[in-house]
Amino acid sequence: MKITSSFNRALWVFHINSGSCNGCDIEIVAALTPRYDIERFGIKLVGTPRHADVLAFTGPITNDMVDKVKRVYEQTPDPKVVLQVGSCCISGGVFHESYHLAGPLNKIIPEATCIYVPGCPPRPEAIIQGVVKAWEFLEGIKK
Amino acid sequence: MNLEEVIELLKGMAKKYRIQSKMAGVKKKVERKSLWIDVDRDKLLEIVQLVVDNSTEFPHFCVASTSDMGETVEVIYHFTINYGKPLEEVQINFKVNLPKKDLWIPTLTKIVPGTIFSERELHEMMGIEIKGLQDTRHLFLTTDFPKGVYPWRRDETGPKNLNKLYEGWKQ
Amino acid sequence: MKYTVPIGPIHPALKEPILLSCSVEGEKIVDVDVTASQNHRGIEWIGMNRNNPIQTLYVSERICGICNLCHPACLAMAVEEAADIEVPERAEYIRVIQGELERIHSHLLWAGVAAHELGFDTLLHYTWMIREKVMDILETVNGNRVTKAIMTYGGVRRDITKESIPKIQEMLTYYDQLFNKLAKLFLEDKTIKMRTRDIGILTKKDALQLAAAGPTTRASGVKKDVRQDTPYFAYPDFRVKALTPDIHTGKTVGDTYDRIVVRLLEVKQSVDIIKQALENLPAGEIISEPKIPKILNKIKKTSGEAIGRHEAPRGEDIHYVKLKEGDEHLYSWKVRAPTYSNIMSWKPMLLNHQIADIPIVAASIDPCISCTNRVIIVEEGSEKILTHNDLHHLSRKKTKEVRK
Repeated sequence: MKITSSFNRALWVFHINSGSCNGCDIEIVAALTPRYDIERFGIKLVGTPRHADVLAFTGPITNDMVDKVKRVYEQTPDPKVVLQVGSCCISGGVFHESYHLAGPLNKIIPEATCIYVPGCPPRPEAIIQGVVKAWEFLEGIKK
Repeated sequence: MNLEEVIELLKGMAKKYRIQSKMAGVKKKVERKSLWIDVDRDKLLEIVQLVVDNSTEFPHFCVASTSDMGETVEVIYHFTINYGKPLEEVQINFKVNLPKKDLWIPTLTKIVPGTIFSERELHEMMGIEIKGLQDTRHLFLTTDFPKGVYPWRRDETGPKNLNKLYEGWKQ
Repeated sequence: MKYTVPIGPIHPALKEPILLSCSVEGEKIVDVDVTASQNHRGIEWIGMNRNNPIQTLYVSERICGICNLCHPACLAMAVEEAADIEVPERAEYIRVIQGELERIHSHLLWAGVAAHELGFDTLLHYTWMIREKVMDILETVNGNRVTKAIMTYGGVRRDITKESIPKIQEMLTYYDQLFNKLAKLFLEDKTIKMRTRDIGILTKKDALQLAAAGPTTRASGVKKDVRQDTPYFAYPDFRVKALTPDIHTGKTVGDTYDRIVVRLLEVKQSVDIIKQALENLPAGEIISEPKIPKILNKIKKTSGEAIGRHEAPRGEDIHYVKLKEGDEHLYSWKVRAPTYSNIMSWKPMLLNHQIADIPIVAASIDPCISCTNRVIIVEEGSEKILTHNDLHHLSRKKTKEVRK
């Protein structure tokens, strides 16, 4: 992986919790703390989707959060990549047959380019590898 | 009040009661007892008021649970009193049986304000009408959840539109 | 003139979706309303209709990722009482050790999040770095950092081996030495005192009537602790006492500062309990019936009902289970997580405070909305939507003003 000058600043990530159990969320925040420390590369969590390059989703999408998820996806400017963290986003996880779920993320936003990080919850090292793949993908677009 | 005094106090108003016990601990064994009392729907407010008046501190309300037994619906209110002193807590559970054709129960929020969330949940998940409750909005289900569908029932009003994974979402 | 401020589901302050609508008059909050339907996944329905009891244990573990042991512990307690399954002695001690390890990790996590709400990111990084020691021990003993999968009906699934005991003792001495430094960093800092003393007060009367549980109610002076009142597992051997803030500071006010004091004292108590448990660990088996089909058969043939209660890091967790003969699933299952009762205490705590106090007061009860679920302020006047970022920004701005 080469950090070229075509992508002038480091990746900024916006994290959305759409009904998750918080296991994946604490592993995302643990990736920022001094043990795993991806903040030294400039990757940080921002508070609004308008500044973000990568959207990190966790949790199975419940009925209530469907339109909010779609709105956040539309508010993020291009180029962008969706990072699906945890098995709940990818396929519903252990809750897949419930009456209050609206389905895996691919059913709601079919046109998004996604990077999948499976696990329940995935280790911080796996999340870092997912972010690195997102970075390589975005470098490829800019060139 | 310990367990025997509670039984003496409430014996007159209850239909029947039983005590369930289990041992705990390894080197020092103690016995954990819980009291299960069956009451009628019209005596429920009186019996709860009696427990509130006669205990040293305000009783602790845990939760209200419910089950669908076919023709009737069972609602259980779980309380505990006498916390604060080691090994002296008494667990009291009031069980009320309601017929499905006449499904209502009086509200306990005037005596114990902490029951408001439990009663809203009973109303939306099982379809029980709570008489006297002002706030009957949905608590955990969305506002556009279909009316008449009660997730915890086992008869025809249970949820049918399940989110099955491998049926037809892949184009 | 009133004003409604919806603090919407996607917000940077709290990491979980919940809708808090606060009615504001000027800068003071007048009324609070909570809508909590974003996280409901239908877990009780899954347990009653789709899974057999062993699968339900794994679903109950994923109710919450932080308080990970308390839900399978309550479920296992309730089914063992209803179906009369025995538990060997070594398993009871291992369950106590796992519960206390989880309490240390959860309280340190909360301390970091509370510091982040006030704008002290340095303290967040420091506390989470300290927490990594406990996560290493959890990984050595259980195999995974977050979801433990250690509970089953009739015992535990994995043993604490001889090689891991010296590592656990090394972690305990590390925390013993650090406790005074942590107490000084959190409790003697002038700015933290200014932002948390006399903010978010919950009186003893309110705490009793709204049936709050855990450190939220112990900080207001109510001595409620399931490990003291109705002990279970191996707790009768340990004589645990409920901790109130007057042990450390000398008085009980019931505000946010007192809740920080109670949680730090509980970390120290947990370290002492683990030390005592490791010294007296009895030898023997860890599970009474290792073959799973036999346990499932036994559960299928019984009928009865029981309650399991456990002291989670956030409060008292209670499960009710009813079994019916001939039915493969649990007939009835009700979960009540501690945040369910503690959320009702947001309303008396937030009245007459400013909007910038909302993040720290809301975080001080340690909300775990995914446990609950299964919020809106309405003000007359205009509707303005504040995102999480705005709130967080306001909170940091207030800290800067307070320090001048």
